[in-house]
Amino acid sequence: MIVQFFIPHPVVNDIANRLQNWAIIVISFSYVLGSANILRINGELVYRRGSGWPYKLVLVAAFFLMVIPGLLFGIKEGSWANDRLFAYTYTPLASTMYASLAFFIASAAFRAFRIRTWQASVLAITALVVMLGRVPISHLIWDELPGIVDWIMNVPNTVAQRGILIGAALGAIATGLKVILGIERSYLGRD
Amino acid sequence: MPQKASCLLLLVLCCHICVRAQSDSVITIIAQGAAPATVVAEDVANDGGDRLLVKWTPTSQVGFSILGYRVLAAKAAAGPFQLMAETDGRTNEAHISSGESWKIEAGDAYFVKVVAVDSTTLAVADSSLPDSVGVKFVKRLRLSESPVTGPTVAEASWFNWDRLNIFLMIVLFYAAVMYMIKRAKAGASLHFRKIAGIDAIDEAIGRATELGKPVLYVPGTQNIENIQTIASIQLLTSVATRAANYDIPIIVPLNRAFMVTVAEEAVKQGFMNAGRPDAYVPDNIRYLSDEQFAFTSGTTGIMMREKTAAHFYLGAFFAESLILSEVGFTSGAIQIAGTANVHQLPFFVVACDYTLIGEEYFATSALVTRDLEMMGTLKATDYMKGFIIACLAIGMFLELIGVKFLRSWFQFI
Repeated sequence: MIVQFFIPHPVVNDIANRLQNWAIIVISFSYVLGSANILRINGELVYRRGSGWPYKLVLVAAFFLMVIPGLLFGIKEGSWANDRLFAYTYTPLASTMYASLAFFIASAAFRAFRIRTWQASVLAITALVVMLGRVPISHLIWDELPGIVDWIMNVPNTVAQRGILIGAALGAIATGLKVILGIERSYLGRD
Repeated sequence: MPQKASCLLLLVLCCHICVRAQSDSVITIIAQGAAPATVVAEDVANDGGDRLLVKWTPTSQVGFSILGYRVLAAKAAAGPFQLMAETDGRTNEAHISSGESWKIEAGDAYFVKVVAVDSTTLAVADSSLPDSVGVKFVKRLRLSESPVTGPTVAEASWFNWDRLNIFLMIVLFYAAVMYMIKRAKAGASLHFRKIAGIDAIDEAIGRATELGKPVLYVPGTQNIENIQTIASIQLLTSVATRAANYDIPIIVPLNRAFMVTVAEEAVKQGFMNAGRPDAYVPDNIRYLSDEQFAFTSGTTGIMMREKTAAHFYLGAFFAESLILSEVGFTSGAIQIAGTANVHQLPFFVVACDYTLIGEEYFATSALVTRDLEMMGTLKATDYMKGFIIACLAIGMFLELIGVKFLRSWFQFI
């Protein structure tokens, strides 16, 4: 993949595409392993009536409820399995889970903005200014407020983010080199 | 008067034929007036030979209001021509590349023409109007073709010279890594600043041991091709070794089926490193779901039901980061997070006891294992960071005095 980044010739592209296709095939087969993992762990617990077995039973039942109609009726948009089970059942559940983030943000913000140290005070005041500046009536509070908020977001905030990004990018390259050079092999199950 | 009437009748008849021959809404008239004056097609450098750059100059004749241009290409001068690109009337060049039905291939020659699209007003017969009028005036599109240009051969490059800067930086980094590994192996003292989150790993596992509860390790929500996941698997082995030393179970919920075997191997290796392969429990490596929020609710369920006492969130996370860490906080577990996803860092900082930020996260495996090769790589990263900071400082100074070459050299294409 690295060679393909520097050499755009079709000869290299063909090899890279072939490797990517192999990866897709291997990953596809991993779903069989994943399914086996779910059934082995949860099925065994249900069979042994282990702790929390009713939950596991629901999981195993839901697994088959999704897989069997999906295999029988297909999973394209408009099919029974997609519409009734995925779009009308799973998607609302996932949306509910996502919506709970609003409450988690509120509780997390409450803890973050408790003023105990001078750093927390700076954080709380900055957050207050940004929140006030982002509301539609911000210019009624003070004409300069939206400009100050833009400066906070575009200068100190962006500078800090870029600093983190440069460090993280170098770390990522170093990790990649460790893998390529064989220094790091734990992902292959070797120390 | 009869001449005028016959002219009008002829015009109406022509328009009627046009209406019948073409689609009802668009009448196309092939003309030369608005066609581009010159058209040039050239091969795009530093690509795989699958693109051509077509440039044209607009007509010098006045009175045309060009709505847009259509770029057509064929393998023979006589056609058949395929529509390859459409632009607005102000654009004078377009890249054409392979599409779904037609391919531009390296080594093949192509003929190109550009069609200018403008509008004209036509008189069209309308039976609903009184006989004295008989016609109505409507605006129609008019197409004006340029002559065919070519042949132009699409050529494939063996090196993308636009990326020479990145190539040289990687070579430089590679050399630094090799040098620092050599120095580390030779016994040179390598100093690194203390990272609180790394020291806290033992503290967290110790806490779980005191409570007799399992450790939860979430290696992110991305597949193994993500570099953050690879870094997380390195750490998973180290954390598993420590958990095995204290005889504490480690639960690894997974968001990707492919990760099952990888995580199994990493944890198994960790237990073997601790000399406790018998304590390894395969059932604790749990694939939950590929779906983001199904995985999130499954993981939070494990936290609440199994009362896990130490949580590690190390890897690539997205919207699930705050849900996981807030539920973990509510459960009272000690939590250590690490990610390079900048937008998730504030959530982890707020909800977790320790957070490994960006580069710290990638440095953790070296600092935990104290492996000489890894430490050498980490030191090389530090020097590279110093080099980039120096480039930034020099670049700022050069920009201030109006010298632009450093900025353009670092530009990524």
